[in-house]
Amino acid sequence: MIEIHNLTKAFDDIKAVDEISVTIKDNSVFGLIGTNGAGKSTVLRMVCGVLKPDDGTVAVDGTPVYDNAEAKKKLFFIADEPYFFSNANAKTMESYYSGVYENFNAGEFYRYLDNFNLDKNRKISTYSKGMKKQLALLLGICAHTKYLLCDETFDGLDPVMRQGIKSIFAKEMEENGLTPVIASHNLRELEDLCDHVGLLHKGGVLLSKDLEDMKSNIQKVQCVFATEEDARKAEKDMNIMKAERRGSLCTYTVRASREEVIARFAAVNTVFFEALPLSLEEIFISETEVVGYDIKKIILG
Amino acid sequence: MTLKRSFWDKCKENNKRRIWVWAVSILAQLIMYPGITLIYMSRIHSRGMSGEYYGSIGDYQRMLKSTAAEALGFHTNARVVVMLLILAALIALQGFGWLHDRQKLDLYRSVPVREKDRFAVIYFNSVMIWLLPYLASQLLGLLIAALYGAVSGTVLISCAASLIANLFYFLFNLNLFILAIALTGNRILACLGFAFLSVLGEWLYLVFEALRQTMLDTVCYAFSSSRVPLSIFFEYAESTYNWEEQLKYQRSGFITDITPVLVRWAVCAAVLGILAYLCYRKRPAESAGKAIAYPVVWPFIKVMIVVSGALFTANEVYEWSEKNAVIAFIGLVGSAALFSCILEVICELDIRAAARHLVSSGFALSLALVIFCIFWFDVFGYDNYIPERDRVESTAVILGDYSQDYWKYVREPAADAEPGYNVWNGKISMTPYESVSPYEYAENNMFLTDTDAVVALAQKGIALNGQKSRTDASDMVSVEEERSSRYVNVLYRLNNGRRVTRSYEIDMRDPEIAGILDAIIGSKEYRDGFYMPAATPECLTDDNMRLYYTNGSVQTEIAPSDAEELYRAWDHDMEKYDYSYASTHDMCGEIRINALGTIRLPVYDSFTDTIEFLSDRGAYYPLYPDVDDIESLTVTNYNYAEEDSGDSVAYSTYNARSVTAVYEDRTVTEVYEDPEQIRQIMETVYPDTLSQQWRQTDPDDPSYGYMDANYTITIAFKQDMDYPYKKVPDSFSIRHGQVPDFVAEDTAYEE
Repeated sequence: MIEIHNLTKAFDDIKAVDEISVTIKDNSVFGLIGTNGAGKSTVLRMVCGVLKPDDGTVAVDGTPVYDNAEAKKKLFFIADEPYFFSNANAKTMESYYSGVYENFNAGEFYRYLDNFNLDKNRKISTYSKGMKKQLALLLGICAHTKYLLCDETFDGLDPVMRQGIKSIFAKEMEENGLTPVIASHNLRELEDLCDHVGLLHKGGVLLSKDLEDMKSNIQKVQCVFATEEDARKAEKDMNIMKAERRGSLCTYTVRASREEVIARFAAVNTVFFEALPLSLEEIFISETEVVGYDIKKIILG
Repeated sequence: MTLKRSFWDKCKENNKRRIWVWAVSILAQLIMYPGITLIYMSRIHSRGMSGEYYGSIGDYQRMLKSTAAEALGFHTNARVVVMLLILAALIALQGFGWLHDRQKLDLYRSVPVREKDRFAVIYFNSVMIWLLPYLASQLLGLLIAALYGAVSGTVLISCAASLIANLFYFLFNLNLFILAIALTGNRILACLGFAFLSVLGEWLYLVFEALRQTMLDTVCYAFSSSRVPLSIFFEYAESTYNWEEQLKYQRSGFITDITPVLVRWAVCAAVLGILAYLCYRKRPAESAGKAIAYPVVWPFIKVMIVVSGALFTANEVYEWSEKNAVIAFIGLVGSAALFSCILEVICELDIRAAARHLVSSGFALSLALVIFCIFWFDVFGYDNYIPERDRVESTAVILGDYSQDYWKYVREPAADAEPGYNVWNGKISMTPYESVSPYEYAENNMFLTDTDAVVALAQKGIALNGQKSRTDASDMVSVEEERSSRYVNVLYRLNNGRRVTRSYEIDMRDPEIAGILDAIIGSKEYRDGFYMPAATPECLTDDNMRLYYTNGSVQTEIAPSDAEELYRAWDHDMEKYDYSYASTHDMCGEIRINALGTIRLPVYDSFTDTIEFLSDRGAYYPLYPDVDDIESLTVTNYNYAEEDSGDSVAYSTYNARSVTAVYEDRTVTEVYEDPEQIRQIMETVYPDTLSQQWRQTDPDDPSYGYMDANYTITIAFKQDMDYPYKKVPDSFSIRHGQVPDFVAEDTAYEE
């Protein structure tokens, strides 16, 4: 478990991370979402021990990580622009990481390279941006650390590769208890990957929740009521986060279980009723609007 | 810590990314050592084979060995310094440059490697990148030298000693560069930081010395300026040159001499290494790409640069403006502001940042002003300082001009030493002694215990200085004032071992000066410290020594075996000598002891023991030839007027004035054959080459020491005269102000 407590970091006069506290549970995919400049990279760089926090603590399985090689054995950090040695190829990088991470599995690495059609003898400088990210991910996965910290790593990966990586994540999580931590500015990229999401904004955490919890507790409903009286009955005592009306078509985002919502609308007279699935984006819009933020501006621009 | 690999494996892994630096190091050192050795050896070999270029086979072989020691040893030229610096910079930047790169930092700092282990691996490899090619190159160079038969004990010792010296110098520069990298955020600033740190000590010394020299009047640079160098950067070239020379002559004392310096270099390198490591460990990762890694040190660096730069500029402006304080202050304020702006721009890499951190800029300006004022007003009373008499153990005094050379015998070749040879333009010369300055000689050999006289002289100098300070600096100094003033350099040796030096200007017209100088110059202690034979008797027995007596016209050689006896006679006669005597009497000749230079012992008519000894050896001739032996005198008057051009008059060491340029030929020549006229003219002449050191105080005095440069005299001796003067007929000049009227009239130029 990675425990981040009151973590603070400023660069000169700019506070990049301001007293954030997040707990990243083991064996789950943690998504760290935020706009550019929200502090995602800074958090990850502190988690992996590159940066020293000004205040607060980062503990990996209870051990402080900064300047602690033992704690870093459990982490592999893939930076937003991963560095590869000049003139290096995949073999060179494998050689380096094999010497650094005791559990690095070279055989598995070369198998993955074949599967992803990455030439181990080709200079990495001639790889495309996506190929470099794949290589970095494969190196990270094959290091077999407990935590894999990915900073914008999935940005730019094509869907096939994403699916491939997702499968490897699933396998590693099942077999080796891997806990990927993925930072991204793009909600849609994390939707199919993450179990838990933390939303960063202006250096602070807006929310941190399990995706399933969020999905099961927020429902979107479209309906046409027979009468206005029916509408008032349905709305009464419901925790409506958002309500829209276009003509007679009403759309509600409601904080409640699916069963509760269906039961409530069954009790009133409706001409049309449908419970719609919510995207991660919509969940975030709803959740953050509640706390006074316009998520469209924060995440979607 | 590499979790699965040993230290050597980690070094090997690290070296995979340092191949090009290895290549550069190997190539550079192969060229520098075996390459240059081969070129030198083959050149000497081809010259030696082609003829008698080196004189003999022995000289040829010595030349080979000497050159091998030079090429493989300390290599006394700038090439090695430049190569060591460039290699240290390249190796440090390549090894630790990742601290300036965020991408690399993200990789290196996130992997489970202990920072101290990473530092150790990179540092060890950095040293090996220089050291292993160096050793291989030396070995190869020695093999080449051996092929030419040029390997000797001196060559091997030179190689071993230079290995240690070069290693410490390399480590010093490497550590300094790593420190510069750790303190800065990009490579350009790291290079600037290295340059700054390299010259910092010497730069601050230079600034304060310049201020002292300009603002204070009694600063004395004459005596030994030996001090612990503030920059090994500069010390290396000088020290290695001296060691190379020393090794050729005195192998036995060599280790003792170089050890303290090498230990100092090693300590400096170690301190820098520790500092570099600490800064490396504490360096925040976010400083990559910034100017300064530790913002807390920036104000100190800025203040140091701004203050020293402003003081230096102000001092220069003060001198250029002929000591105009207002302009100097403007220069100080302006340069402080300019340096502050430039530094802020460099630090922020933004021209708009020029006016940032005004507090530190203001502080720097204030500090510069305070320091400038301290020097300008001589707040600590430097110029008026005279040590208390009971604290002075002894003194050394050097007065006015010089006609003496000094040297010391320090290089008596040891039994096991290679013959000492220097190579200059392919020629070989032996120098068993080395020249020293009069000040160094006095410092080591003159111990005056009459402190009262020296203090009185100092008080005179301070009083004159105070008097001059009250007058406008721009006032012109009269010719008489200029001619009558002398600079006196004084070294006080204090009881506590401290040495204090001062330089005073004294006015020789001051009636009390003569008494003071009599006490100093007339003392045996002064004589023994001024004339070499007392303290350095080897100069009288030196195999290369030649002994002469000259009356200014005729020089006769005396057997070297007579040197000690002659000196004893002269030393006894010198009991009569003091300032008053010297300033009122003409020398009748001088004894010259020639070896590395010339020692001149004055002889006066009253030096009966000396003259008797010289006469016995047939070496003595009177100052003037017999007038009856002179057939005619040819007097040439250049009719040069002093106001024609100040540039055209030069004062020689012997205080004779000479005309170096005349723009219009006004020369008039007159031949005198009348015995009476010849007698009158001969009464006014004196040999040009005899020193008149103390005879120029008063132009109105008949014994005024200057010669009149307008006139030259050529003597034609009678045919039947067998007289040595005949060989030097034009050695006399007419004394200034004593030209006979008829000569002046006869030789006057008419338009």
